[in-house]
Amino acid sequence: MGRLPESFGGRQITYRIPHVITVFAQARFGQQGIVLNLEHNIDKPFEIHRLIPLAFLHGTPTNENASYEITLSLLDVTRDQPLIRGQTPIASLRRGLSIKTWEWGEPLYLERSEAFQATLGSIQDTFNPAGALNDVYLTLEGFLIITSPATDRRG
Amino acid sequence: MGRLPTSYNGKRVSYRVPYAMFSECYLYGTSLATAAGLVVNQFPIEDFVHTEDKPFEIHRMIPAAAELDAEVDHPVVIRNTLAQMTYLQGADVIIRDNAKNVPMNKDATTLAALVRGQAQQTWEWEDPYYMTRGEGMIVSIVASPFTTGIDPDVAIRYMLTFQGFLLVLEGEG
Repeated sequence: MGRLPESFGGRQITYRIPHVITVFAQARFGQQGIVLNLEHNIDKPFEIHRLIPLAFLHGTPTNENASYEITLSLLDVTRDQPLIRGQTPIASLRRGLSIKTWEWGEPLYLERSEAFQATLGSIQDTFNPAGALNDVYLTLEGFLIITSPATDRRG
Repeated sequence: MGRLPTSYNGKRVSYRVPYAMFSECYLYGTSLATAAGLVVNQFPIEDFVHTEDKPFEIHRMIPAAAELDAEVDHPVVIRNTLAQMTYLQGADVIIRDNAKNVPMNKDATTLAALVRGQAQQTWEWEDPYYMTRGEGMIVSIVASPFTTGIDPDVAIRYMLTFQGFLLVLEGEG
């Protein structure tokens, strides 16, 4: 329990390896149903501490407007459990303009072959050219965990 | 008690699933308000009714806003010209836990006064609040008469997210 649990599956966590999974997509204004898979395929459990969703008009990463237009829903496919109830604007998932993360005070775990499915949508924007592209990045950030008896001590 | 309690209703919490519950509604600028009748609005009740079978442990509320041009047929044009805090100052909310029949603020409170600031636009609940299946919030929103700087010919799309975890309890995971 807590931010950095001492054990996983009843086994002591010996050490952690920082790890991220990132997916990238380009979404046009008004486009719906872009499905992205965030699959974990390493033999160590992935302890996820935060989701970092980014969306901006292609080539203008400082333009924040797209984060109010690009929507996201997230499903834990393995457990058939939605993490976001409906299509939610990316800006509504983050803490603010300085902290663009959704912090998970208690981490969630993915084991090998488990995955999240992200579905992107977009609201029509008539101020921007028809079909204008947005760059969307979704990053899961956390650690791979090593459980006992494995150790990082050598010799 | 505290940020991440180890138990809920006498049962040990096995693990938590991050979860977000979102809704949105519109307020029109003063020049359109009479015709549109949307000086006062309410987030759709069903959006804030908890429908999962696991208890929802709420850790924060996140308001956000985007400016629309209400003069086009389909008001979905976003053109944020002002700082977020200016938009948040443009609306007061009244939040009520409908299941427990408890108000969460004494009177209408401007969204800008609920959050920590421009950098962190959240209302943090250090001791989380719980909703079980079928329970819900009613959130009413009122255009603030004190706001200056917002174009009276636009609509503002107000977005509200309750963020926290679904609890998986021992014996149920």
